[in-house]
Amino acid sequence: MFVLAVKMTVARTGRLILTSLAVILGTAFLSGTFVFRDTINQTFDRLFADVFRDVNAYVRSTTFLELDFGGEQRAATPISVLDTVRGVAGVTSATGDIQAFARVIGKDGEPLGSEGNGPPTFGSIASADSVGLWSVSEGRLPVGPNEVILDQATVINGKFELGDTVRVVAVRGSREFTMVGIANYGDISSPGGATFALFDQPTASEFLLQPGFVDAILIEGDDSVSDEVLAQRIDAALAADLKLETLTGAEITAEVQGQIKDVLNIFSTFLIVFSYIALGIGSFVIYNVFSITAAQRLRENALLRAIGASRRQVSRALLVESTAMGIVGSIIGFGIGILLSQLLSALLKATGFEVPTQGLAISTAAFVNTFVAGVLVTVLAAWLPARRAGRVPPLAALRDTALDTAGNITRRVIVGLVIVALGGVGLASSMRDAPIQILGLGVLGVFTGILVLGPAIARPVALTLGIPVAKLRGVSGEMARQNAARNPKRTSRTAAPVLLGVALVTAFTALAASIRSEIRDTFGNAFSGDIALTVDARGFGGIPLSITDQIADLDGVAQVTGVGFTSVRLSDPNEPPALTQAGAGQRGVFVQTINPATITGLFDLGVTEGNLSSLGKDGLFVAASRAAEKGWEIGTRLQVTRVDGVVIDAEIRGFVSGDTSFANYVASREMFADTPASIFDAFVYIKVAAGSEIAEVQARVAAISSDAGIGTLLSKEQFIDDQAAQINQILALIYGLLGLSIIIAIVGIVITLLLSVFERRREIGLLRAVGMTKSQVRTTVRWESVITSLLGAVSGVVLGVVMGVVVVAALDDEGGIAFRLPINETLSIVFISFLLGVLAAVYPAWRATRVNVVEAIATA
Amino acid sequence: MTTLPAPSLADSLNIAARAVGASKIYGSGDSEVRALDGVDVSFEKGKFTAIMGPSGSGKSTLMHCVAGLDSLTAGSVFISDTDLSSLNDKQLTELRRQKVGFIFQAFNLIPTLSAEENIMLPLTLGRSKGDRTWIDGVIDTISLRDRLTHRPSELSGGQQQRVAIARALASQPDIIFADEPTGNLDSKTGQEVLTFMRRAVSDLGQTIVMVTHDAVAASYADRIVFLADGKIAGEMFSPTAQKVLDYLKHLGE
Repeated sequence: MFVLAVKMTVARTGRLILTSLAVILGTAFLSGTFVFRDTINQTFDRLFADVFRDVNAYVRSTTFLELDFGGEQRAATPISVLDTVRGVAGVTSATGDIQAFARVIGKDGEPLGSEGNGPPTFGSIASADSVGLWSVSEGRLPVGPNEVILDQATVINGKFELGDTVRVVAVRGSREFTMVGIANYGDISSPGGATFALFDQPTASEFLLQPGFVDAILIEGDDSVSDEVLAQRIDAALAADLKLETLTGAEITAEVQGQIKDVLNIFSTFLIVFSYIALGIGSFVIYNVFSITAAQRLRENALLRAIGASRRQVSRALLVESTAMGIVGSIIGFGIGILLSQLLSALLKATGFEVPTQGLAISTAAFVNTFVAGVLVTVLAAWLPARRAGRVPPLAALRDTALDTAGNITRRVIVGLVIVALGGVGLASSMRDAPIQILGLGVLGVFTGILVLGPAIARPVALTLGIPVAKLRGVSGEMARQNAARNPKRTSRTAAPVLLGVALVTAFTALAASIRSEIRDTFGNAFSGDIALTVDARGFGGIPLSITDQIADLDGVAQVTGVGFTSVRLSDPNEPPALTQAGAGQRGVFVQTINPATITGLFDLGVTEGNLSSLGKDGLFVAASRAAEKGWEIGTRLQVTRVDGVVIDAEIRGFVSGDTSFANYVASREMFADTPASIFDAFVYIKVAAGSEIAEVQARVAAISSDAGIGTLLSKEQFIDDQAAQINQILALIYGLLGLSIIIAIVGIVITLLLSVFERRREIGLLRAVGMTKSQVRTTVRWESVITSLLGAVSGVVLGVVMGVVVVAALDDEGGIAFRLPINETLSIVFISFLLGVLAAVYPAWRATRVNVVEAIATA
Repeated sequence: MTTLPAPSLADSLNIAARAVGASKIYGSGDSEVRALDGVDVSFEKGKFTAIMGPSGSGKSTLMHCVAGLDSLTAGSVFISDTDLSSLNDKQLTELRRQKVGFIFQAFNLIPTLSAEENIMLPLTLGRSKGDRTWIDGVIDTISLRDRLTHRPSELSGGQQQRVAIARALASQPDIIFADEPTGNLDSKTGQEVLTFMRRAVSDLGQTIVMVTHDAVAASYADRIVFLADGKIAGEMFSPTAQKVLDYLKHLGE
């Protein structure tokens, strides 16, 4: 029977491909993200392997902080170590290395590289030593405090020529240099879209880091001993109190490769999660397709039963078909996914986030993952329809018309309502501080209940939605309306993926609108200045403090304060020490650095207790919620370990609400005054003196900021908009990813319509015979599609709004956020669903007009 | 009016299938319909029996119940000595697979399988290879050897029904049920198909029960059982088309 089942499947290849579309799309998105991730990883692996080719050993500080999102910040190494290292037997060359923030300003005054969400902008050392990571491809190495060389891409983008004056911004401020050369990184001209400005070692140390320090030492050996032995020898020569460690070339290469992977994996995990959501929605389409084909093959299955096939044999034949569909679909999907990964890189490149990709990395793991997920989802989705097919009574083979198993509507309504009610209870309790898992279960319950209810509500809702259609389009419209309502199970199964996608989109939109208006209110109240200078680069670079001070000295400026971020390691001496290995870093926390002398009256940090002026060199303000969580009080002492390893015995001197501080901890910039680690401001708030024109002052500030080539100057209104708009970036990404799911939902409508047209070809033939025009046939199919897609969209919007209300209420601990219905967005969602319904019907409607009248009526 | 004797034990030794007190009632109360009303009938081995009667007489219902496709409201049905009411779905399925063959009016064949695969289907379903000599004999009897690799859509209506006959014969079942097998065919092709069925009984010793309302088709049978209003209305041996038409006229009065 297995062989026969395979033959029966192969005989339907055309159908197989059509019905596999959902599998193909779902797996294509999945494999696309896998291949994309692997390709980037491979590119970086090769890049760093190439760059560190000549590095046999690597010396760096053991003191570092691990940051959120996989980065790390490490203490500097004194340059004097170079001499020690050069004296070790087997070392032929050693040079310092720095990777710090430095932004090159183009000739037009605009900084190169996008702020915040683009690849990083680096400053580093150009060294004559062969072990250096950079080589000069044109011109010569920079010498002295006034010379710089740039990477090839930066030279092209900035339209620089040798001998030009180039402005660069770094921790010590904004300076001008003469460009004396062009550099290559390894064998490539520019790594990953990042920009590089390279200086000689003393200049780089002073300008980018701290005089007399580098980030690490690169060492090349004479190959007389292995890298391991060389590293051991160097380690032995280093003074213990410097807290330095020596890595082999292979170790540092692997570590750098690993770090970049950690960062990229956060992004690709996000993509992969949404691809799985898309595949999950695709499983609904697969389920629907199998239900329809099983119904259409009712007589065939009944015949099999009549001549002696067991229920299981009939079911298994369908499962064999679904497996074949899964296999074929997943393989095709994987292939298309490879193309999609290319599209994804191009798309990111177009939005300014250039990821370097060289070649294609198609790993076995990516294939196996895609394949297994695709086949599994398909077979699972086909499980129920296959079981149902097995239960066909053999007598059905003798009946002319297919049986419409309407099912028990009452039972369905009761079961559906009970599940919705249970979900509702979960949602309601999540409003009263129940754990977030209950909220998740509640959402799941409501979704499941709606899907169970679907067939029961599909008929009345489709009929209602169809009333205007029938009014507008006459008999074709009325037939479309009746067609959409005549198989409520099928209609609701077709609309379900649309419902899920639209509900998610609506819920996210409503959530975002609510958060946005909340942010507007909060920042509107907190910021009492007139102008803000912001830079969107948290944690890496920003506005040098010298520029903040420069602005304070301008005419017409009444008050200026800067707010920045840095990372520290925080430990509570009252808690047992965490079990950490020697030299291993701990997670760092973000600390907001402020200037207590100038912030009051300009920006309200939401202090709930204490006075910011008491911060001093060793004070901390903590978000009230975090303090409550940890049981901290005013006067609790915490150990703050700075990036350079200096430990400060700090005291909690107050609490903030946390609504307008961007981190859970607030410290004075004084705490970091003597650190070689870079402190920047991310925001500079400016209040204009009474009697001065805001526009004039803004122009003066603009002169400074564009001179430095850093920051975006915003009015108070713009600043508030800007803060609120941050949520839009995330929302755009979520829209894009949910878009995948909607595409699959639309494909589901196309497939269902095609199958329905095929099923009704006799009927269509009859209608054509009695005088229905082709255009009327098309109208009927089109409006059926629109009604189905609107059924999903309208119920999806209702469900999404309900979820939005509940989620907002659940998030709202202190009465801050109020639910806001984004009316324009909601209307657009419904309108787009309408258009997609029209679009989905194009091909099926055309197919419907191709029905051969004579044949359709003649065939039994 | 002829009466039918109750089957004796001695008869049952030569009986392929029988119904005892078979009743089938649809609906209840005012809308109650007695499709079968206490029918006692037996079908002899190695004979070609036709069941005739006007529309709504219950002839198809009788066949479906005896074949195990439908269940009775009261009474019992035996195939050989097996009481069908004692079987569960799985056992019924196996019985259909091994002991019963079917030929329907239309839609007899799985469209995605070749003629030969369709013929072998009941055997394949039971993971059996069958008796190859027998099957070759069947294929030759119905003259289909050169059409074996064709799909149903590539065969004429008559050829399709011949494939259906071959499939019903392939597993050498105890009894074959045919439901209006010539209903969709023109008279010439229909006679061809009936000839093959006749030969299956005469030459190959098979047992066939055929439901029909066509007097010519019924005349190919050894015996005709007439049904009216869910009851046995009479029977006829060695029929001719003319005799059948006369009898039906008499039945209608």
